[in-house]
Formats: sequence, C-alpha cells, structure tokens
Amino acid sequence: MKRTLPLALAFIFGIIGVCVQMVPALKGLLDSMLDWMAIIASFALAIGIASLTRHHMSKIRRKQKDVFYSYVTFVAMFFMMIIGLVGYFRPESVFQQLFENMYNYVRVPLDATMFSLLAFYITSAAYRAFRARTWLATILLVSGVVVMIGRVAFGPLLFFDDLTAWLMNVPTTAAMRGVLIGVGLGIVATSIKIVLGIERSYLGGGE
Amino acid sequence: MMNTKWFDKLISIEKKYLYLIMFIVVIIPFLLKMTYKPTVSPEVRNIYDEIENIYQYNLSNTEQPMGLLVTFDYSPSTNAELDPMTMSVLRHAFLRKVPVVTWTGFIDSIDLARRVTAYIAKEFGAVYGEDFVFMGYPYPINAAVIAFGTDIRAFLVKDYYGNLSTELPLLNKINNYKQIGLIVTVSGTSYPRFWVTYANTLYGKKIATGITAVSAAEFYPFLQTKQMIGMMGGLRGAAEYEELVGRLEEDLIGDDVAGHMAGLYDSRDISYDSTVFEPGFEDEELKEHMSSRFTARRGMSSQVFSHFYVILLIIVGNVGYFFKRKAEKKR
Repeated sequence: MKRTLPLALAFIFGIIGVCVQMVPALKGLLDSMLDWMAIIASFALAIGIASLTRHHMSKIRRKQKDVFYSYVTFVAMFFMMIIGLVGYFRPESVFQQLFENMYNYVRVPLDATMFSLLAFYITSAAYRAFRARTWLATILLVSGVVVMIGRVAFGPLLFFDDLTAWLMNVPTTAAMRGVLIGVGLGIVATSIKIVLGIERSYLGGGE
Repeated sequence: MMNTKWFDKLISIEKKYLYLIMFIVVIIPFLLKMTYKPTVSPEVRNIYDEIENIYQYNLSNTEQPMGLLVTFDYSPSTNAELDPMTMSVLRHAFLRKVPVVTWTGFIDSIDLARRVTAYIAKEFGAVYGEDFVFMGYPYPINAAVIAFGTDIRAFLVKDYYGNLSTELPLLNKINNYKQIGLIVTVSGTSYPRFWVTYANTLYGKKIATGITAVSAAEFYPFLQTKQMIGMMGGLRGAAEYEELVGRLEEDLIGDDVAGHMAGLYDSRDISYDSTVFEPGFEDEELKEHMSSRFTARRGMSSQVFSHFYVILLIIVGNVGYFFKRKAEKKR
C-alpha cells in the first residue's frame, strides 16, 4: 500500500496532466490541478527546513569537524526568518528595514562576490590549462580567443564580432541542438517511466 | 643547481601576481568611468523592436492594451551582469507606457526584484496597480506559468504587497497570456528553457531572454527556431540594450534626463502609496539613478581589458609550453 498508492496517484495525475493539455473540454480541470500543486509544493518548503535542521542538528550532536558552520547556518536561518516574519506583519517596525539591509548589504554582496571569483579562476585556468596540446585543443583555443575578442570588439576589431556571431549561430547552435534533443528525449522517456511506474527511485529506498 | 630557462619562467608565474594584475585590469577602467559603445546585434534589436511593436499596438488599443511580463529568474549572485538588463527593459517599457507585470522565479530574489521594479518605476512616476504590478514569488513557478494561460488572478490571489489581484486595475485588463505581448525572462540558469516549454509551446507566447554570458550558448538553438525572439547575452547584451534605451530616452526626454526626473513629482498631485516607493529624489539619489544608466557600458570597459589580459595569458602560457616542449624533444 505504501508504494502502490503513490504509484497509482502518479499514474492517474500523469495521465490527467497530459489530457488537460490535449483535450480542450478538460481545460477547466487545469486551474484546480494548479491549486493542488501550489498546496502540495508548499509542504516541500517545510520539509526542506526540517531536513536542513535535522542534518545540522546531527552534526552538532556528533561534534563533527567544521561544526562551527552548522551554528552559522542556524543563526543565519532563524535570524532572517524571525526578522522577516516580524517585519512582514509589522512593516512600520525596525525589523522590516533590518531584513532589507541584511539582504541588500550582506546577502547580495556575498553572492555577487562568489560569482565574481570566476574572473580569477578563469585567469588561472587560461594561463595553466588552455594549451594547444593537440589539433582539437588548438581549434578550441582559437575559437575561444575569437569569441573573447568578438564579445568586446571595437574599431578595427569589429571583424571578430561577425566571426563570433557565425561561431555562435552555426557550430555552437548545431552542437547545442544535439545536446538539447538528447535531453528532451531523456525527459520524455523518464516521464513515461514515472507515469507507468517503471521508474520508482522518487519513492525513496526501502519497502 | 639547475639552470632555469626563460620559457620555464614564462609558464610558472605565481598565481598571486596573475590575480593582482586581473584585479588592477578590472578596477582601473571602472574607477576612470570609461564606457564602451557597443554595436547592436540583431538578437538584442529584436527585443527592442518587439516592445516598440507593443507600444504601437497600444496606441490604437487604449482600452485593451498589451502588457509586458518581466521575470527576474536569477539570484543575487548574477545581479551585476543581469540587473542592467532588467533595468533597461523596464526603462523601455515605462518610457513607452507599456503596462508591466513583474515577478521572480527565485525565492531569494524577491527583495531584489521588488527593489529593481520600484527603482525604475520611480524614475517615470509610474503608478502602482495601474502602470505596473509586482507579484512577488509565485510558488511553484511552473504552476504560475501555466496559470497565466487562463487567469493569473485565480492562482495569485494577492500581489506582493498584499493587495487583492482582482482590485488591481492593471490585472483586470492584463491577466492572461492573450494580453501579454512579450515575456522577458532574465536568468543565469536554464529557466528560459522552461518558459519556452510552457509559455511558447503551449500558448504561443513570444519569449525573449537575458542571460549570463556563460549560459548564452545554450539558447542559440531557440533563436534559430524562433521559439525565442531575442536574447541579451551577458554584459555585452545588457550594454547593447542600454545603448538603445539611452537613445530613445534622449529622443523622448532630451539631454536633461536628470532635470526631468527631479521635476517629475513637483507638478503631479497623484497620492503615492509610499510602501512601493517614496516620491521625489534627493541629489545623491538622482546621481545614482543617472549613473545606473551606464552600468553595463561601464562594466564592459573592464571586460574589454580583462578579455585582452586573459588572451595575453593564453599566448604567454602557450609560447612557454611550445618552447619547453621543443627543448625537451631536443634533449
């Protein structure tokens, strides 16, 4: 029963999900299904918080290495949660401003800093790893250099702009299309397997 | 003691020096406020033209206008590259008085999307609920995308600020894909693909995307099949759109955009709901708004130098590698 019921639900709603898009008479069902989807998905947030809490609590209990970061996670999570909730219900209070400041002046710069480190990784990678060791590597290297110039081309270098457009519109598009068709077929195959109950890994392990 | 050859030195420059030069290369054009003047690519021009088409349509359909849906499908990590895109598209829409619906597909970007939407709306004295609405974070986003096919007010009963959707004049006119002229999804992820799957394939909606440079390659096939009408790729794409909107603003407002903005709230007696934005500009705030009109073009000047620096490093590394290999073969 523990496995049969979810499998039956996946089958029924999988078939209905396809039918509401295919049969115009069933379009009315779509809004109801979407409401259900919103309600069910809301539980995923609660499960996420519970799962994160349990994971870090167990690390703290076992006094594992780097347990400090578990404390940081808890403090950050509950601090933002509390000031966010109080600020939402009392928008005139200091909490709303505090929440916004924490977001704008802590969260945003931290995230942006992590992404900007990419510039330094690329510097190192370009210098140490981007070598013309083989013919294929040389083609990759030349294409990379052309695109890098093309993306910032000006004045007499504008020729590279056209070359970059060709590289992106022809070889890159051809390669990406192959990848996307593969991904698309994979999604269709997996979806059919889930609806038919062949793919059951989403149910979790054990009986 | 082993004799170190010149090519050995060439391929063993310490990381700290490479990073330090990169830092200098990025920071100097930024401090000197250098700007880059891009040529506009067809992918970016198409987005601009489509919004112009919506404007033209709205001129003759004032009772039932077309709107623009701008979705902030990115997290704060990529905001340096993507904020200029959303800002320019929103500026274009507000300049042409195209009604705008915005939301975010990322829970951690609610504040970012709200802030950017209100920031640009304020520059044009746009009225919340009539000229634009911010719907927050519709959850789950895929359900919201499909729900827009029937009536979004049934799915998003309230907007971000807690107003009932049915009480917002804009949403009473624009609540279905039929009234959306263009969807602009700005993202650092695969989200735009998801918009193609649902909004374009199921409802035939026109999709345009703004995407980080590293993700751009993934979306060229959608441009060729016309499933997307246009794309702003990376900071360069943002700079191109910024350039187009800058020209339009100059045509419509003139050279003194700052003066126009400063006087925007003097002659108007609309009572603004200050929960969305405070009307009026302080001097510093005005300067910041003017400076934000060049964010991408200024960022591009740093990118120009950093790209050439990376190319130089590739050349240096390969010259060193080539001569080292030659010397080893001789031995």
